[in-house]
Amino acid sequence: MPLKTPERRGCAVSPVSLPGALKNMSEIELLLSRTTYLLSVELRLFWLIAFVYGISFLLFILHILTRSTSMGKAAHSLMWANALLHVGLIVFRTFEAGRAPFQTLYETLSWFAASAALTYLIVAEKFRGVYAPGALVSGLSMGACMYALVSRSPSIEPLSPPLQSYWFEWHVILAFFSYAVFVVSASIEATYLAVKPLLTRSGGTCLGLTMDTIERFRSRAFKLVLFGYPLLTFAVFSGAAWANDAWGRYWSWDPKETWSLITWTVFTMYLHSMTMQRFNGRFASALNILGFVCMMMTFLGVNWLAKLLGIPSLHVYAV
Amino acid sequence: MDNALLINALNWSYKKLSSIKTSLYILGALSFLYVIGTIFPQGGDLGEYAAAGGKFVFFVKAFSLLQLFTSPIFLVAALALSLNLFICTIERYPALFQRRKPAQRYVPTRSLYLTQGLTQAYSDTRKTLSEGLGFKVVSKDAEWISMEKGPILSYRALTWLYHAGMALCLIGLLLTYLFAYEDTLTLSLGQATPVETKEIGRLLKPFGISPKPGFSLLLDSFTTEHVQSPRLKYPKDKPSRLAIGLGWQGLTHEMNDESLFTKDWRSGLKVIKGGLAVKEKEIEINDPLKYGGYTFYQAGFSQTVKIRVNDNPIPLSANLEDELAVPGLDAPLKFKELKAGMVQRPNGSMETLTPYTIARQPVTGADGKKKYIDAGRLELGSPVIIDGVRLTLVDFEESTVLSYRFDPGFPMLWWAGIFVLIAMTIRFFGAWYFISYNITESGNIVCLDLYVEAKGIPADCEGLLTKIEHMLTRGDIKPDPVNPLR
Repeated sequence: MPLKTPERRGCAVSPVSLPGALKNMSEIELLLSRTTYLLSVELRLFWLIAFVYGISFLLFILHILTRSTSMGKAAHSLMWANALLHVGLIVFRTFEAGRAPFQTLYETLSWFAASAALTYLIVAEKFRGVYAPGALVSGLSMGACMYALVSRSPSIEPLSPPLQSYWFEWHVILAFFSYAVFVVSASIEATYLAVKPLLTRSGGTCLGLTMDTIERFRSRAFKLVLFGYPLLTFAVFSGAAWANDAWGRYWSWDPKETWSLITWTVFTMYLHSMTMQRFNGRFASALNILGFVCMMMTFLGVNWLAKLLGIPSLHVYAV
Repeated sequence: MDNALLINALNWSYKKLSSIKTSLYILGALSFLYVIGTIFPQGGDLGEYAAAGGKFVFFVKAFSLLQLFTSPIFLVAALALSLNLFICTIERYPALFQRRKPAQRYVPTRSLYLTQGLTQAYSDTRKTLSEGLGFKVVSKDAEWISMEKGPILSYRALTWLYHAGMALCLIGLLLTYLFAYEDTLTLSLGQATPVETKEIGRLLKPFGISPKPGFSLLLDSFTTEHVQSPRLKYPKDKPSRLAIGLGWQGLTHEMNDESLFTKDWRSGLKVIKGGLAVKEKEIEINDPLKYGGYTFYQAGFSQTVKIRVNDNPIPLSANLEDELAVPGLDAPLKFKELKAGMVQRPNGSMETLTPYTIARQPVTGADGKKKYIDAGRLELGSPVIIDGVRLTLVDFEESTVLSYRFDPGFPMLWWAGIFVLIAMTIRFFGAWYFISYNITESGNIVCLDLYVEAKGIPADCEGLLTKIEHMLTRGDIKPDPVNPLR
């Protein structure tokens, strides 16, 4: 019976069977041992990084409990060193995989932890002597690293067809950049909400803040949301454009899409409330923190929600 | 009387819908609805929901929670947001051309004592602000002179522009909602298939109007590409993972015949109209074909294998999704995805793969559930014996599955979205300053009052005031800071 194969385009090579191609085993073994070695090194470094984030987190907590500035300074310095090491690890992973390192949840968790830590450290240069926001950021970074290491596979796999798009890098980089900015903004807002009543009651200095400096400190949270909001808008927009190219529909009310819209809407509410004297106080602070919670839902919670409720998601490759 | 009541009601509604406070309430309500939409599976069936033990059958039915995003409650909320956005945009348009209110009502941000005469102080301050710092005068009265500085357009204009862009996005969404439709199309190699849609947009559906695209699609070629890649054998238990991290346990990778990942699949398409090929394109995921207002997307492919059993001249045909009863075998067989096309080896070389599939047999697992185990690898033309029966893969067929869509709202949404992003980025990442100053002389003391407002992330009021102070000092005015609440 004649074989009716579709016309095959591409490389003009003679057909060979797969077992025939595996004859040169030494080359394959070399590749496997190299891949295994690099991944082992990466995993050891990643565990170390998670551990050091944990130490930083404990020092930040001790700083808050004891009000010791030296504890805060130590935590801050340790986090700087660790974040730089983490960036190095991500660069290492990029070379190891030969592509942008945010295909799987393992990779995006690592990216999220590093970008949040680094963004915090850069922003913290603007309010030297205030270390309390570092507790939330280092705690989240540690949690993200541990979740990646304990629950996800570090396997490096080729990009699936829907991810082979020019949107892949830009969509993910800018979305995660906005996430990092919102994490830092929420940590500043939470510090403000915790410290403001103490200062109002007793005055003086609390965790490096005074009545004169606390509002200026809080304005950083607003500026960070202003910074992150266009990035999130771009992420939602580029995600829709990408979905239109890949799935033929720019919006499917997929849980991930819907939660990204919820996050965007809550931050829209926050920005509007900041323009109104009646709402720009605690209400706006609550919206900022709610926006952060929604952002975490978009990133992680929605996977859990979809699994719990059995709702199919088109974003399964990100799980 | 009735008219007056109606006018009052309209006035009240207009006033409410032009308020930012209303925006907050509507956005809050929409957020709540979005959350509900992620809790109930959208597009689900009420009967299935009830049968699965759903506890909120009454609410699900009453509020169409399984089709929430097309339900009346959601459409009302979306309409309210649209009206709010349109009215706010229209309402704020005249403000773009209005002059700023005089600054007398503001407490000066900073006041400086000057050591020069009134006239000289005015001249030097204006020169410093306009020539030194690039401010432009926007208003002037007997006491206060107001100036502005910023990148292209005023921040109010940019704020207005990105809100107007969002209003255009909503029009795009409305067009999609009313007119868009989509369907799927399966094409076999070498066959021209007419595009005949059964689906139709919401607006045309009640009138029974059916679009007639009037062209056919021909599948000219179908290509699949695979990549051979190592697979990691990673333990599932947490202690083992920690042990690997600590270096107490090693990692293992494996790579064999089955370590193939589907990298891509492409369909070479021809648009046939009036017997002529009017357009040709090889499409893949992320790269669709556009023609006549329609966009054709690579959605997937389907495969059929033909298996010869022993020496039977008539082969059995099987879809990969279905089980195949094979004479002589106790249990039916099911086949894994047929691998054909090109394969990229780890060293980067490309080879043509001999087509093969894996035959699987059902077994009952320890948990009583049915599962499939590999029974044999069937390569094209090479017989394999499974349980005493000789099976040969003699042929296969591949079809491409396309989804296509007609969406007149997308272009407007796309361009309006780009417009929103550009205006928003300039507005948020630019720095705008508004400065108002007043110089007074009381006795021999000349005092400069400065009021500063700033918008945008890089804007820094303190930095600007310090710079002005420095420049005025350099200009030999020698200012001294005084309490702004003097």
